[in-house]
Amino acid sequence: MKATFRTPKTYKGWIGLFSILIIVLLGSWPVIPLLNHETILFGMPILMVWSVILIFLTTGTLMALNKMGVNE
Amino acid sequence: MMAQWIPFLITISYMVIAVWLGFGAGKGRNMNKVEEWGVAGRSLGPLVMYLLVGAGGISAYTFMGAPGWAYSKGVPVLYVVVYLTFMGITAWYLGPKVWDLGVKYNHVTQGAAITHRYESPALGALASFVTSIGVLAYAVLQTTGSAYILNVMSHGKIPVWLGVILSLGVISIYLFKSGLRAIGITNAFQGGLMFVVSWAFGLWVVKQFTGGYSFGPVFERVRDEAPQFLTLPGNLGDMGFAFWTTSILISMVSVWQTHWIQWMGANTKKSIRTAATMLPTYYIVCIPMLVVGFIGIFVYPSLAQADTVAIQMAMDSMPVVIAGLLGAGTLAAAMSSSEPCIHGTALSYSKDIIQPIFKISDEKAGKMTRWLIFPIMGLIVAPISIMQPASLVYILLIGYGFIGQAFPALVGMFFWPRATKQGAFWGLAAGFVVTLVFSVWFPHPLGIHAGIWGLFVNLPIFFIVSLLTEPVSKKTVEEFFPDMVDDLYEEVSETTTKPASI
Repeated sequence: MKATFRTPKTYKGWIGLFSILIIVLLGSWPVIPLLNHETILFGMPILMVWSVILIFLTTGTLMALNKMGVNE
Repeated sequence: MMAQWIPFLITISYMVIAVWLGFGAGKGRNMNKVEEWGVAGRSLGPLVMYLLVGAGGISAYTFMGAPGWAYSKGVPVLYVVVYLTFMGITAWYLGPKVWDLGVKYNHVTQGAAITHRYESPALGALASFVTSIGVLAYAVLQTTGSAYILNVMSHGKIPVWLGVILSLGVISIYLFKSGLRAIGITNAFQGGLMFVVSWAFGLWVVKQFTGGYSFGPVFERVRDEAPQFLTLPGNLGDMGFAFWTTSILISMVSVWQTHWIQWMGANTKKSIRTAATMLPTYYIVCIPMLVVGFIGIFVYPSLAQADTVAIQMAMDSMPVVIAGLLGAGTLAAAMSSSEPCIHGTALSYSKDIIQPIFKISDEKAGKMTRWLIFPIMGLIVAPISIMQPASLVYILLIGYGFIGQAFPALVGMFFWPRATKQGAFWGLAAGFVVTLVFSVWFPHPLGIHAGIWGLFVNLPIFFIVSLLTEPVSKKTVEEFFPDMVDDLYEEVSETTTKPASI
């Protein structure tokens, strides 16, 4: 028996995978240091604004992936 | 005189409404069947799923611990918002797949799926038992939070032991009667209540503190007087970028038994997908409570217990109705998180441990399952909640560590057909030991979360041991990986036919 991994079978699947990886990166180490200052934006610390943006970005991305039929 | 009891009355009213809703949820259903009591006859639509999973993710921590973190550490607390958001991605990806398998092969628990995939009831039972440690420790923590709220709202008239009994008693009424349907409907109510309370309370506190509803003046003052609260690693200096990232990652890959069962309750795959897509938006609920924590920095410069900052503020300076709503909201948060834990453990112990060991029928197991909530509450959750042992935090760490270490077993279920029970077991065991050591004795070396250290060891062992041991039968591979099966056995059939032709 081969030891193959299940990978996306279509280009839409790959788009889905990369979109999710990008979102995770946006909320973690490579990006967070860039936002780690005392700036206040829309009345909130920039990291708080970013967390709210991530909430909507995640939902927006998942909605787009649903529309594309990814993870059906 | 009467006014001081209004918060308590509001809190108690919430409990009465929860009982009424939960009790009625199972009307006309046969709750002696696992399909009904355990997974609500797979009937929950996207809105209930959204509130069920959303409210389940918001625990007493959001109303007490999170403002406490904002008060003591500052922005590091935002990792909670990010990881809850990312757990929506996990639910979106895995939820429909788990549901599909459950419908096809009649699984209701994670243990049942592990048993099936690895052809090992022992591995399923072990996973069920060990993950229940973390789940039950979490239920204990939430029950302690419920008792604390009842104690504060009753001005100390309800002692902790009585608060524990009251909150568990309320849950037991509707949980026994209506199972996951009760959790669905009460969580929907609790979820709505929490959302309203969090924003009403948060905005009220901001208005009191600044004279307006903008958060701006709060954070401008923080920036001027205590800027360390606005950047990582925070006021206590303990949340670096590595810990932020790894804490989020380990939470994202930790699939709780309770989540698994909740996904199973959906009426269609699409409902899970829709609910999971929208799920991150629920976590906006955290923001106002965090702002309350930041305000606490100036209102209570030296509070002994950071976790009590929001409740303290409510009791000291809020109108009684707002204080009561906060009490009800916090209690709702605690109960909505503890009831799925008790329900999930009863279901898992019955289906994954007792039924295979004693070889009892589905019908008998169905009847027994809901009775199990009583020993679980009475012999485990209640006594530990009342005693509050110092070791509880270690039990929690151990439990959480184990849940994260089950991730490779799930990789084997959805991504890697070559995974074997030996690989899953030894990876899990090694990962668990490493997580334990790096949680309790040498916490988080290099600022990396102990659970991620565990996975560093777990994953290679999982892969190597799997490659060195016999894979599961072709039939099982076909069931879990129907799209891959031809390709997987292509080479094998060539090599096995060669010797025959020689």
